[in-house]
Amino acid sequence: MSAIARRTRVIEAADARTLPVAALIAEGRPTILRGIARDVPLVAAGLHGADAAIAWLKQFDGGRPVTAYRGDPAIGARFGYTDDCSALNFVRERGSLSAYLDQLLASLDDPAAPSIYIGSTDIDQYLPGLREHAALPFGDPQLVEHPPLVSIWIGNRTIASAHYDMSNNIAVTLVGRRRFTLFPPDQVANLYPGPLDPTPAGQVVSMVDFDAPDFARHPRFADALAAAEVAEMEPGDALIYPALWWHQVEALDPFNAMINYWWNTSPSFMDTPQNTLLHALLSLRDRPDHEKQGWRALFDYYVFGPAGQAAAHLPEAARGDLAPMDAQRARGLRAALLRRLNR
Amino acid sequence: MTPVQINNIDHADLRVSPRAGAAFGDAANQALVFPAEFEELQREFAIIFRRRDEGLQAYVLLGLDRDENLYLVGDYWTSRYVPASHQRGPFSIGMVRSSGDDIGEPMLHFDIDDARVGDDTGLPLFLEHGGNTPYLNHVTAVLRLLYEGMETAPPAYAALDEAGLLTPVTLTVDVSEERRYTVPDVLVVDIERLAAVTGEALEQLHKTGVLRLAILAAASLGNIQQLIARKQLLLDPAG
Repeated sequence: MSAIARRTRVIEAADARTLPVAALIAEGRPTILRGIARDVPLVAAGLHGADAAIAWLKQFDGGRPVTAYRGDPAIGARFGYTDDCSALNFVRERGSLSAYLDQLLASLDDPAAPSIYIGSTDIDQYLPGLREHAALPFGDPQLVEHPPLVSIWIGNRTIASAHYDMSNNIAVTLVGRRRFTLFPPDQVANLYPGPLDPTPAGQVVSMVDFDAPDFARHPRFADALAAAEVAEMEPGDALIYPALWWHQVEALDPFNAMINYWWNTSPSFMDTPQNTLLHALLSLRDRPDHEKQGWRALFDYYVFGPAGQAAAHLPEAARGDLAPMDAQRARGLRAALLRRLNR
Repeated sequence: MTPVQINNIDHADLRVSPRAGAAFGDAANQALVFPAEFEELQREFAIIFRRRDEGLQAYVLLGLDRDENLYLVGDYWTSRYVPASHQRGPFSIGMVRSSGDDIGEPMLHFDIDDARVGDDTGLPLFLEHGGNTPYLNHVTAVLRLLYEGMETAPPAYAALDEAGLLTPVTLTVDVSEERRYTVPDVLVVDIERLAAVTGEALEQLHKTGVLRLAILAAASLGNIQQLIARKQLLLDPAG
């Protein structure tokens, strides 16, 4: 990991109310927001000690069983695959949040304790009331218009292997130190993505063990390292980065808690491009190269180029699905696709 | 019974016969039914309720003698609608867990021991490249009705009961002057009490859709005449 020289840029003394969220995302690179959550009570509790942070969190346990990942100490805190890649190297289970917190507290200093990770847990559903005391008052119109999904992440020392998410993210470190290792989306091939299914938590992860990269098996990972940057975060710091950036997340202390905000600006009638990708495996990938290149030109024209270009020269009445997409048109297109897919 | 989860790889060419018959449990004198099918049912059958250990259940009357289904001839139903609990044929819903942390998703299964499964004269479940056939979509819709019905029926029937709209009766059915059947221990919607509901109680029943169920079930009782006519035809085909 020492091979990564680049450090994520930092905005000091950031304030959620005035943070230019949309502009930071539009810049297309990550930024650390130093101390933006310094006034959240959980940060102060955590600085007193893990026991204080755990006691503070327990008061919000809504009683609904949470999903937790439990990994044997042998996996080195890295939630991923068994050696032959045929199965996950941890178990997913459900249980009481307070019971998991007790368990984490009881094993804080135990090097033989299992790795426990309660990931992306909706705070309103599982910790009712927490939002009022721990959510940041983002004032940027983008977050007001597109209310983010707010989730909490709790665990001991854990490593979430590098993956991308489909949403923009603000990740707020509240308890424990966290390290994000970030790669631009174009590094996908250099990160050696794993199976589409199963995945540790819904997203494809890099097969490279960042702590012990095997450059014989993964030679292009050297190029990924050259493009990577590292964000070291203390309690109260946040990291903002755009959708689709690859990120490995290491929780570095015996007890760690983070709250994150995920949002997209696209209307909800738009489908996930993940479906488009899967369908392209079905429809495009195995065609002869000259056909693929032809389709590349068509996709560039219709999809990846300027959104209006394919319709610009047509009379408005003749634009059909080339006109800007709206909820109505999306319904028509969905119906046509459903018909065509079912064969 | 051996339920097997359906998928479009292992069962790409599998055909299933949609036929009915006594061998498949269709020779029954009543059928369990669910609220979502009351509208279709009341055009054909009499809908009655019974108080079971697990709560109220709704049934349609199909026959008067034991194992008699007057709407079944050989391997097909002669009614315009078949109760979903019989339409489902060899198919069922099973919960399939994708991982240890969830309760599972309802997935379509079939009973591989059922003679209709693997019948080459039957209907295919999948299209040439793995899409769903209209038959599979139909079966899926029937099973969804049953699955949702098991969730929605108990509170709806309880609301009917709490509003005092169900009255216990013994149905007396005269097929001929010398032939009388009684159907004991049933509850039917009491039309007079239904007519007497007013104000907030009425609005509540309407809002929750329970009023509609009550009206459909009440109207359905006239179909007992159809049942009698079918029985008479059976006893005296010359009429």
